[in-house]
Amino acid sequence: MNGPVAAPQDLAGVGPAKKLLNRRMQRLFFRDKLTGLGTVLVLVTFLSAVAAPALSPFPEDAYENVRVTERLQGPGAKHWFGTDRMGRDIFSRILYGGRVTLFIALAVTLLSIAIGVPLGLVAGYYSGTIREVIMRVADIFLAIPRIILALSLAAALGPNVPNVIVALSVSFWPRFARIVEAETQSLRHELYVEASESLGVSPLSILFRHIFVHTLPTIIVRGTLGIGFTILLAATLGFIGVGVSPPTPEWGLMIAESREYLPGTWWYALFPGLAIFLTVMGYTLLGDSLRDAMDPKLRGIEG
Amino acid sequence: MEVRAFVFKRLVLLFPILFGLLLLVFVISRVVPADPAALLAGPMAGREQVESLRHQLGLDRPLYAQFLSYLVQLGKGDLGSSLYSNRPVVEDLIARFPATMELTLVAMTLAVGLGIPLGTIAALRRNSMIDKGLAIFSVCGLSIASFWLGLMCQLLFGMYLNLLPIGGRITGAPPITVTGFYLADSLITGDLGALWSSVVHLLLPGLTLSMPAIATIMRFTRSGVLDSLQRDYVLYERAMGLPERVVVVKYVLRNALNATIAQVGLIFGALLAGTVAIETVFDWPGLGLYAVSSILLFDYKAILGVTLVSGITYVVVNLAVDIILVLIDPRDIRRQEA
Repeated sequence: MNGPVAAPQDLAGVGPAKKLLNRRMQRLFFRDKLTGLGTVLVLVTFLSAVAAPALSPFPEDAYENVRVTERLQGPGAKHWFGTDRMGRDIFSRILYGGRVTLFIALAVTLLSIAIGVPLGLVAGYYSGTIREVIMRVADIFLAIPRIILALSLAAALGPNVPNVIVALSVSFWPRFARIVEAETQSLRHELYVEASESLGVSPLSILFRHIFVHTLPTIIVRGTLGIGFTILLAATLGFIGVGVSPPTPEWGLMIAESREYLPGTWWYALFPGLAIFLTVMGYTLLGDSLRDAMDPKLRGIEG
Repeated sequence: MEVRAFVFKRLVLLFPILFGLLLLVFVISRVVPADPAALLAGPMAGREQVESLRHQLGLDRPLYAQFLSYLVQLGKGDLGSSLYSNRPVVEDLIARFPATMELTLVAMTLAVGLGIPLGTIAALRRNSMIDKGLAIFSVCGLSIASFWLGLMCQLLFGMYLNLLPIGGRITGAPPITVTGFYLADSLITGDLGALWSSVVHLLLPGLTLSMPAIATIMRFTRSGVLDSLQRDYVLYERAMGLPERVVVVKYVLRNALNATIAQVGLIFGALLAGTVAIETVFDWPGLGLYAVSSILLFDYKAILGVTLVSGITYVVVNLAVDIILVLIDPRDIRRQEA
């Protein structure tokens, strides 16, 4: 396995392209304040979720705990974001909620990539019946708006974290399949792919080393934006009552619980929503910047 | 001729998609829950009760037979009865469909009416403070949870400032039903009081629902206008001394909006889906609120009815948008075939 197999790799020009991409990305990353803000938001929300047990003033409040005398208190020195209907510290619960939410969003995105990308590669490479079958199945899943499909699935499966992950992934993988299929189709007839084919490189190797690698930028951009959107969907499921069930500290669920105490307890609804907003904003900003960095056409327009 | 062939092909392709949709909804209802009969009977039911319910619902028959009888039922327009109210699900769906469609269409109108001008301004004043401000606004619009934004608006404008109603479609008697759309009905019957009340009730849910759509349309319009501005014909028109306003409105926008209009179908789907959360917040008696209250009662037939109706509406609207695009500009066939 040397000689003829190693040569096509150079035909792909992966090395120089990667270097160029890196330089461009660096320039854009440091020039752009919004990218900086996005990166900071992503890092801060991620780290505070990881370090929730250490950062929380009241780690015991994350799940079940009752402090009757401290119910529904406004923000103050002891409870920065106030307390909820059980007297639990909302700040601590938001930190722990980040663990639940980010776990769901990352798991959904990775699972959807793991299902959608191979199917998209195969569909794009082997046109004909295989492609038709895969893409028509994807179309059917895309025919139902994502939140509604997730909602009926989550309702059928029952409220817990693994089921939320399944429900959101089922509605997400076709999007990856579709983009990767389209890119594979256009890459398939590139000179270096045809050259590799004529040299007898196995289809698996071509798909992985010459096509998959080139779809990576798109997958990363879609994945980053997808994490943000999945956080919104997971929170919506929690709010509606088909997401995770109490006493799990989940942001959407916390907002749903706050409703019966409004308008008196504004903090109960405000802070979990702000947590969703800032976390999603991090991924939206970062995804936008990555797209601008990786898509030369867009960059030309933005000047 | 090419256009007619395209329309025909798309109409034919509608059938496998709709069949797949039915199959998917069937799978969700019958296969996904480990034991639908036990789910329906509730946690308190004994074994015999579950068994008799299973037989009564035909759940002990093979799956293909269940699917066939499900299709036959659907063909008769029968989605079963709500397990909770015992009313036919179809009746409930028909009663609630206009409320959801009215909200969705109002949000769509707001999104287009605000998104296109804002996107155009951003492109014309590229890199100005306005452009940067609008860019931040669009990021916020895409990052905010609409149910939370709705709740906050409800709290501020409805509860604290007492300016707007906090929920429902109307205060007092609804207009005489013609279409089920309160705006249209109150206009047709000349009921100005009802018209005003409907508008006021639509304001908060409509705006919060349309937020992500405004952001999306703004972005597509901005990049479309920027792209068009660089074309040779713009240079030519400017050189001819045409006023900038004429160049932008008459030539640039016409060419720039193709990409935006192509998004309308997708945005419609996002808005339709968004109504689920917004209707829950604003107590809007549409399909979304129906689905959510059915979930709380484990009324799975009602949930599946909503899923089916949303899916069909979405597929049909997307088909209509694609066909309209081709009728406007037959060159669009090539884009869609790609």
